[in-house]
Amino acid sequence: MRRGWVYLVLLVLAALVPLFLESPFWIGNLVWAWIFILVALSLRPLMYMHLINSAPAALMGVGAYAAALAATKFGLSVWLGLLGAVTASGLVALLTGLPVLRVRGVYFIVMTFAFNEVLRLIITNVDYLGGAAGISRIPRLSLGPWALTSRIHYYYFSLFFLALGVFLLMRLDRSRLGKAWKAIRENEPLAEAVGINLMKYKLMAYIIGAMMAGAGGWLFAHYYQYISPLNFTIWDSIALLIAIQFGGIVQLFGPVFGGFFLVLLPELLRIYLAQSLPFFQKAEARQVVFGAAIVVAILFFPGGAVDLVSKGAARLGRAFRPGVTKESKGTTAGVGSRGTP
Amino acid sequence: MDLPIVQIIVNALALGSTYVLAASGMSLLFGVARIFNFAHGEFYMLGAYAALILYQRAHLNFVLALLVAMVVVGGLGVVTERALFRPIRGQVIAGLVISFGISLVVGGGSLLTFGERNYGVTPPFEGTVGLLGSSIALWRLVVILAALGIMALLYLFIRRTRTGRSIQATAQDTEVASLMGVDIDRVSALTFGISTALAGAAGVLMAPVFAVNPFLGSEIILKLLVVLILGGLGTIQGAAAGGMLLAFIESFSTYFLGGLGYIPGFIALMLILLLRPWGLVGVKER
Repeated sequence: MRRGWVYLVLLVLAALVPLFLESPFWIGNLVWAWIFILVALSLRPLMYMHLINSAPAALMGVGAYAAALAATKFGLSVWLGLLGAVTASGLVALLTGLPVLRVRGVYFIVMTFAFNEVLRLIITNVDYLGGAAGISRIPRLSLGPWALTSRIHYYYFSLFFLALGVFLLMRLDRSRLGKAWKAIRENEPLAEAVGINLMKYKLMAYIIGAMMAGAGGWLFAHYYQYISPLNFTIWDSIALLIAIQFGGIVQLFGPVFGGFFLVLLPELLRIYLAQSLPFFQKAEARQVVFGAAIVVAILFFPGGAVDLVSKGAARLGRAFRPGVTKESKGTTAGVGSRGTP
Repeated sequence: MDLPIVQIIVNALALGSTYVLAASGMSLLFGVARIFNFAHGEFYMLGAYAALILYQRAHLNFVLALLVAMVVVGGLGVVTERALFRPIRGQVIAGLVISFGISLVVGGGSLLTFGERNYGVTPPFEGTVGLLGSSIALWRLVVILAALGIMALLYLFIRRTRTGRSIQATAQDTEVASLMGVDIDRVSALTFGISTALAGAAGVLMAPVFAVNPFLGSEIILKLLVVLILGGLGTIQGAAAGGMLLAFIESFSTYFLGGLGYIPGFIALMLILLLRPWGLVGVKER
């Protein structure tokens, strides 16, 4: 697990951050960053197969609402709430995946957009689910007798879940499931011809991702203690898509990087830009800058920043390894140069 | 029965005409270049502001204002395609994300430039006309006819001209089209320009009906999404079917259900998504 060490190092670094970072504001932002990245990662199984799920925020919302209802209306323990959140989002993925995964890949993105809106409309208009006002007074988490109260508690708790998510995806990549996914990614008709049931594996990718997003929603609900349909709109889903596009999807680190960019940039813009130039105190001025930043970022990193960097690094690595030349590579049977007999 | 059915139908037709005009461009662009242009609504909004500036303020002839607006907004579309979309051609998510960034820039920029307030544009033909026993706002009829005219021209262009056929070819199979000698660069830029020009035209026509403000873009894009899902994404016919269908559902629902008027459209969307996700007119690709 060569890559695993990198993530371990990053995890340790992340764990050390609160020792140096005093400001509760930034700790709070990082809690949100971990949750955001977790949900961004949830897109990865499907995205790996070129299927863009553009409703991650809605799936997160399903999880959040399940958790909130479990805790407030049913009075269940928060851990049962987690189970409920994950089950609910998985079920929604199953139900919406069945019709929608039938169509060709490019249309999946538009359909999931629509599902995002549909889910939001349902939540807004059903009073039992809190309606437009949302659900408040969601209790904080507790591990047995020990209640999680401060931001730092949540920092480590959500970081733990994020690490769990990364670990899960890494293991899946190496499993039979992951190999099927890779086959579908590389050549879908061929994978089908070899006997891989496309629908089954695509659905599993969707459901697993949805369950991750649901877990993120559970975290969200218990950290912020208040949720409303406005937390899970199309725009929130788009934010996640931006994070993915900017960071890249092939490397697991891509969504992590992209997530950071997307959570921290608006805050940094708000704080530093608004302070130095009063013009930028207007939210719409910052919106323009943020939009321009997105466009520029995508144009500069079309395949995703992390993927580009890793490809560049790989190329550098090859340049420094002597002895691998065209002549010294063997020819594949039947293909390639054959000398005159 | 005291049902103002003629009025409801005319309003539906007028609303539908706008949806069709705006959505056709978006659908065409997706069909040709696989770009889901999230900023499409912003071009609609620019059209509305163009009507405000050219017609209301500068007192240009309305038809002239419409033409100028279409050319300007279309030109902006061409520039956008060249500068921002060509480098990422083929990448669907990148296109979506960039178009989202553009919508932020244009939306925020308009808010900064024009401010929040609603502006009104007086319709060139005010007043009502008697039709089948009801009085209908004259401007709505004009909108219907104008949209019809523009769509007819579009149809002729796509079907009967060489350039139009090269657009069709690119939509059907980009690779083969380029092998046959179609200049994909030109087709992409042109399609984007046509797409935005249509959106701008819709904006101009609807400016006298609804208020002009910077939020028009984000409001309409969600409607257009529903239109394209209902009708089918990728073809003009799909946009037309979806646009009229949604407009009729909305008009009748608002009349009968008032505040709960969103429900039938919502149900229609769910039904289509579950039973026929490729849209009413769309073809199930496999």
